[in-house]
Amino acid sequence: MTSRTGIVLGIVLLALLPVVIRDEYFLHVMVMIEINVVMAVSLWLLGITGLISFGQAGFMFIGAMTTALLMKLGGWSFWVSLPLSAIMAAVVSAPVGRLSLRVKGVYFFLITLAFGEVVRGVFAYFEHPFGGWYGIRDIPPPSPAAIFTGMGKMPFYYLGLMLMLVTCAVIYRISRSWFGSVLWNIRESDVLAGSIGVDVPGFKLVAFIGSAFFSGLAGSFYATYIGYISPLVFTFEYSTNTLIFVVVGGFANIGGPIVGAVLLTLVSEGFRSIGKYQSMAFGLILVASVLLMPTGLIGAAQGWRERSQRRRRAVVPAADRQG
Amino acid sequence: MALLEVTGLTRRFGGLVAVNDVSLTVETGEIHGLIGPNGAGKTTLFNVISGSLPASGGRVMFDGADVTGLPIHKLASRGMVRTFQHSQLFLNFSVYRNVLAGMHIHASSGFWAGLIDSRSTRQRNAALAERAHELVRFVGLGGLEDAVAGSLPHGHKRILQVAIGLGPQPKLLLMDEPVAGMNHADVDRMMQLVRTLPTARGTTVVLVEHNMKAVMNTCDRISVLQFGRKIAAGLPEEVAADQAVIDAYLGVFDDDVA
Repeated sequence: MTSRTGIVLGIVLLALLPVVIRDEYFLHVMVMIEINVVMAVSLWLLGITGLISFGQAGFMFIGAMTTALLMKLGGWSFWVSLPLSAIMAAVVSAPVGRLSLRVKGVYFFLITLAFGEVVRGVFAYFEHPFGGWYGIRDIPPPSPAAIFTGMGKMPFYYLGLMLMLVTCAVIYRISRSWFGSVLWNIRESDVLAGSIGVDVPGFKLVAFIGSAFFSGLAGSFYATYIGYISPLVFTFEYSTNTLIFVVVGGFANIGGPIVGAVLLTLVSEGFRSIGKYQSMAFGLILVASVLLMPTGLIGAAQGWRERSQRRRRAVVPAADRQG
Repeated sequence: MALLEVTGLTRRFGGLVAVNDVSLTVETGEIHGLIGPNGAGKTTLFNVISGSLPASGGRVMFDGADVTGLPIHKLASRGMVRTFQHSQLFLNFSVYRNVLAGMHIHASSGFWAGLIDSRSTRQRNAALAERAHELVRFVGLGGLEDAVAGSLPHGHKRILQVAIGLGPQPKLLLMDEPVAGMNHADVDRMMQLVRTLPTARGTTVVLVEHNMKAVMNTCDRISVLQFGRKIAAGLPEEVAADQAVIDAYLGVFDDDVA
């Protein structure tokens, strides 16, 4: 109950934030955090099964490109393009997952990595209709124009907040459902899971497709928010950053990718002033966190809480003995 | 009709024929032992029958249907479940959750139904939870529901593996060395449990085992493998007296050399 109160309180605070702080740069950072949280949580959904993808930006790019083309060339509304973009990413992910899940471990990572680069390559190669290396500019904002062009970044903040909350809620639900518990089982032992009747490749594929769906959602929102997409945005580096959010935050529960994405986006923005040392600082944080907290921030926090509880329990009998 | 009928099963690894033209029948309700010296091909035979490995030749009939080459999870939902030589458990989860996981095929209420948490899903889950508790007590791990599987002693781990394997309510349980590395007390517990399976659970058992005493005391019939071939089959007493089996285990003395 207390955690539910905490979540409601947090959402109220987030909803009030732009009213209190009316700084456009601050709001921009917040929107980027929202996008990064959606990406990190979508990757975490795949991570539940014990799989890691190095090509998540590829699905984001597919979502972004679908929105860009539908809105700019087709003149479609953002509200139609958004779900279609997510579906497009999911549709593409089905054969990709089917192929890549046939191999295990490092080979799976390599195929996802290659996939991310292939997406960039294809979009960069065909200037029509994908815009080549120059990408696509002037992607329109969502309708109604009165809200999304006249009021700065605030409406985007709220739109992003909605997407983020819905994504987190759905993925949280999945992780707690029977389907999710089977994914956790596969992570623990896929051999055992198979022996008791779990269609392991099938479950992995559904997780892979679901993960791509939400990455496509993030990409679609990115496209309409920034208004410009190119192969230089959805890079291997971005895929890796997404992975780093999850690793630093921790896999144990959905709080991990959320905390990781929020903190590291803030840190990376904070280091912007030190220019070329930014990525160096980022790298140091990653190394330190993996060495010091191999189960991520969430895992470390859990361990700390359990230890302090045990200490408290140990203290009580000692006091009894004295009395 | 036999529950399991293996005909001419062969499995090659390159030039090595690990299982060579093996035929085997297991009747409903029996406990069938599979023995043989190290490297005889017992585990490979298990792997092929249970769908962990594809066959190079031959046929597996189970419960009246040809199941040769079916993947392991399809066999499990048809009622043939295997356990593993080395403890395979969800080590970080509780005993209860391990057993509950074993009931997956009875829980598949579909992806969306599971998300929406409808009343029928909740009812089904409650029924499963009850069955899981019953199963934990049945195998004798009652009271340990909340213990983390990885923290259990070896004997309990092996028992837990059997409980997971019983989750799908299998018609046939293939057990790969269920008492390997156990002390006497644990062996007795496990073998007592195995003996109750056909009557209490309606589960026929095929087990691979090196512990001769356990096999002889528990199994209704025994098949013996050597170098990938079946060299004998029959009642425990018959097999124990079979010259080919004695030779396989003790080696053949050559009078001329002595």
